Parts: sequence; C-alpha cells; structure tokens
Amino acid sequence: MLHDTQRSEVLELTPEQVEQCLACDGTRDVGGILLAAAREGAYGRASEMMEFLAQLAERGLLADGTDPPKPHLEAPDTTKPQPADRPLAVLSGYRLHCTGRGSCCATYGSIPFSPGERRRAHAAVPEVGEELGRHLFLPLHGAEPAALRAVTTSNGACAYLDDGGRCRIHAQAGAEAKPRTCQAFPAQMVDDGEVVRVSVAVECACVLASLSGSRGEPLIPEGVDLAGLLPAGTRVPMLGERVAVTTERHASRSEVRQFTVAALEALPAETDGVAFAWSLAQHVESHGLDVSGLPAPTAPSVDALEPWLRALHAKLRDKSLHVGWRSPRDRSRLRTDWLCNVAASLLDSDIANATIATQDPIDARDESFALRAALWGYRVFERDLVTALRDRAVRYLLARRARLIEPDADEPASDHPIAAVEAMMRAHGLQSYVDRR
Amino acid sequence: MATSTAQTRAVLAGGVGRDGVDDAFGALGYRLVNVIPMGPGRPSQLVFARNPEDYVHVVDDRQLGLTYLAVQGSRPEAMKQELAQELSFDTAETAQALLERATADTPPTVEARVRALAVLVLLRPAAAELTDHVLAALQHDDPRMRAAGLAAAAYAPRDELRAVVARVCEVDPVPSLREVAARVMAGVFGGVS
Repeated sequence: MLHDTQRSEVLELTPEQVEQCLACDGTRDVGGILLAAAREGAYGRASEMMEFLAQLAERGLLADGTDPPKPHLEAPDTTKPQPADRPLAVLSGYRLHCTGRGSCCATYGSIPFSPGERRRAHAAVPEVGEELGRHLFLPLHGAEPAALRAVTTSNGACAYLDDGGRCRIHAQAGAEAKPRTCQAFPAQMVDDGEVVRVSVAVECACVLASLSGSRGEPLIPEGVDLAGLLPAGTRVPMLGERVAVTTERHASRSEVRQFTVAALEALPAETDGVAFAWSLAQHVESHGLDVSGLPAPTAPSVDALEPWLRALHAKLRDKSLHVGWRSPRDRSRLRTDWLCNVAASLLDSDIANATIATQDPIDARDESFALRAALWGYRVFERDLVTALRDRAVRYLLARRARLIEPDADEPASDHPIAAVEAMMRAHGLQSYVDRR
Repeated sequence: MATSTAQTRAVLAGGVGRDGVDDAFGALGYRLVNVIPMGPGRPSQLVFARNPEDYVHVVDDRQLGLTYLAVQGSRPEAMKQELAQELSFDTAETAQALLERATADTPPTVEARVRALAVLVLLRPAAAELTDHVLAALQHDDPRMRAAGLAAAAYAPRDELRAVVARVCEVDPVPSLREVAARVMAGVFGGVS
C-alpha cells in the first residue's frame, strides 16, 4: 500500500511496484532504477515500469529533495547544535506514569531508528529481523537513503512489540537499547532561543492518567538541566524567528514566548477547554498577543463551529473510506471509524449544543492540561495561532463527545479521548481538516 | 575451476522492440544485471544474465543503426538458438542475399541495403565478399549508403578500403560525411597518407 497523503488515498501496489518505488531514492537515473528493481526481481517490462513512474510523477508522488521545514518550527540544524549551556525549561509539576501497556507503540505509523539503533535492535531481538528481512526497516520519507529508517508495523504496531504489549528490545536489552525517540516519548522539546522548553505530547492515555496520581517520572531525568546534557540524537527543533499569529500578522519569537507565559497564567488547572481556546483565539484576533484584558471564556456557538465540524467530519469520512486495507486490529483504523461516528453525531445541532454545554470533570482537567502542554511546547504555532486555537477547541469538543460514544473494546484512550484525538490529528494527518473549511 | 566462455552475435530484426526483449529474457529466466549508458565510443547496453556464465549484452548500436545481442557463455550457440525461439533475428545469409540483389532490376530499397550491410559487417566481419559490398556502398550515389559504407569500414577495416575512404574524406559533397571519413582514416587507417 502506498499512502497518498495529499489526496487521502491509498494506492495498492504490486510487490514489484513497491520495489520500483524503493529504487527511486534520488540517487539513480532511470537506468539505475531499472537495474535496482531488477536486482530485487521486480522487473518485467521497462515500458510498464516507465508508465508506472510516470503515473506516480503525475500524482506528484515523485520529487527531488525533501519537503521544506514547517514555517513555525525550523528543522533542527545539525551543523548548529543548541548551545550546550542552553537551559531546559520543563513543564512544571508534571510527572509521567507509563502503564507499560504499549499503546503508544501501536499508535504511530513511523517510528524512526538510526543505524546504531537498528544494530542494537537486531542484536537484542534477532528473530524479528530474520522474520521480516530487509523489510523490517523502510524509508522514513519517500525512498531516500537517509540514516533514519522507520520500523515496519504489524497490525499497526511496532514490529518489536510483543503480544503482551511489551517492547522486546526493552525486555531483552533494557530501556537504553530502545531508539532515542521511544526513550524520549512523550517529551517534546523546542528551542525558543532562550531556553529549550520541554513539554509533553498529549497523545497517549498515560499522559493524562498521570494527572490523577502522584507517581511517575519527570519528563527529563533529574539533573539534566542543560541542552548539552541531553542524550545525543535528541531532536530539538527551533522556534522560528517570526511566527504567524493570524494569516496576515506575525510576531517575534520573544513576543510569542511572553504570550505563552501570560496565557498559561490565565489558564486554570481545570477549565472548559473549548470555551477557553475559542475565546483566546477571538481575543488574539482582535487584540493581538496582549492577553491582559482576556475576558471570561465564552463557549462558541454551534453556528460558529459548524464549518469546522463539517470539515472535520468530511476528513474523517474520507479517511474511513481509505483505511479498509489496514488490519481490523490497527489502532488508527479503529480510531478513524470511532471518531468518524463521533464527528457525524456532532453535525446534529442539538447534540453539538449539549456537548458544548456539558463537560465531564475529567474533561475539564484533560482539556486544560492539553492546552497547557500545547502552549508550553509551542504546538499552537503549528499553523497561525488563531486558527490553531480554534482547532484546539474543535478537538476538545470532539473528545468530549467521544466519551459518550462507545469505542472499540481495546481502545486505550477511552477514559481520556483527547489523547486519541491528538494522536490522530498529528500522527495520522487528521489535522489537515482545518484546510477544508 | 575456470570456465571457458565464447561469444556469438545475433542481430534483432527491425520489428523487435524493448517490450519484446524484456518479455523474451524474462520468459527464459534471465535477469537484468546491468545497464550501461552510452558513452564516448561505447553504445548503450543492457546486460542480462541467467547464471554466472551465461550473459547476453543487448547493444543499441546507433552507429550501425541496429540492436544486436552479444551472447556469451559456455554454449553461446545453444543460447542463441534458445533466444531465437522468443526473438526474431536478421541473419547474415539474408543480408548477403539482399546485397547481391543490388544490381537486379528491382533492387532493394536504400534503407534495406543500409541495414543489410550493417548486419553483414556485424555477423561476418571477416567475410571476403564484404569488401565488394563496402566498396560499392562507399561509392554509391546515395549519401546514406556512403555513410553505411564508412560505418562498415570502421567495423571491418581492410587495406582495399583505404583509398576509397580517403577519397570520401577529400571529395565527398556532404561535409558531415567528409568529417566521418576523416575520423575513420585517422582512427582506423592511421591517417591520410
């Protein structure tokens, strides 16, 4: 299967065509592609392969180079590492208690492994490599021969996850043997030019379940307080010098930093996240980043939400039409179907009104924390701030309603649906619904 | 243990295209093992192999205007016969017969004679009768035949051709043919004396 994420379509390829795609790694001319495919036994007629490549090109699936970095967060420049003495600023008061059920290991389609991490994994659990051969690791992006490669998944879960939800690398060789991404998860770091902020991805139920207990580990080991003390290979993107506030207005890194601090001060520990995020967006749109006069949050009307909910439902419906190829146990397939039903129900204005008006106490805490983590980690600058805040309000509304619609029996985030929504938004492309409004 | 290999050639008939080549080699269990792009003095080639000894180069020879197989292995003639079950070949006999009809009442077309000369020079470069055909081509009124004669002279040089090639180099009315002839003289006959 080849995911055409631009069109939300899945192309079913023959094994030979997969090999031909993998040969298009940017290092070969057409003859080299023919030859590389032939070496893998994936060569029939040159004319058919050329026609296939032409079709891929026509769909915009063949390209030179890589995507440009996102405008809000600059790609980490490995030639300019963060100053070693850059302080780390960790989301305060938060400790993570991981249940070890491995739900995060079955959430993401691409889990990157560096060459060293692949060697360690092979050494720790050789039988996985023997079973899957060279298909155990696939290109992370396109077919480029980059150092980072994505581990293949089975039923949507990392190939190294055992049937009991435990990481086999961890079990055989210890936590330090796992890929750096897995070790760091769910911590997320951003260098804002003054400090490296450490926040948390609210994409796993453990992250939110941890709020109700005193147990848990800090996001960063105690004693690690400078960027220079982070493990080698830790990904720390840089906040852009200029950040979009609206589609027309931009702000400096310093202004954005001050805004997030002020907004976090105004954000209660438990709140109506839908109302808060929507109101904050309205305020920023009218008054800029000065939140000193932020009024009491007011929930959005159904009319205001309607285009957002329609776009979200349309995106989920399209997505649900194209997940049939996934395993019935694949978490993203199950969540797509679940959230599609949830979004469909919100198109009923009475249900939408009721969902806006009523909030489970757990949601009050989860919504507040999710917004807090997003503000601290600059995740609300994934697109222009006003749009991102309104998008947050829609996400929280979707999650609120999801609590009332039965998910799959094994859904790990049934008690904290925001985690499922956030994971689907970022890791499975659902967030592009915003562009359909 | 070293294995002795020998080589033979076969010229693909004009109607055989790339799909036909791919289908034939696929059907016979060959795999594409190398793609050699065209370079200075080197035609583009596909190399198919079936085992460590049996190789077939599919050579796209733009200079001669045809595609031929260089079959290499312990039993190249048997390999060629097997390939002939899947692909159509032009033979030296047919080419020879066609060239001998050049003076008939209804001679073959120039295109057919150009191709026949190329086939003959590839498959029987040492044949004595080739000299007369090349000489005739070099002195032909049609510049396409003279070009074919120059190409043949470069592939199968012999002393009897030197004076005629030198004359093309000096007096041919087509400048590009004079240039080609000059390169043949310099590269094959050691220059104009």
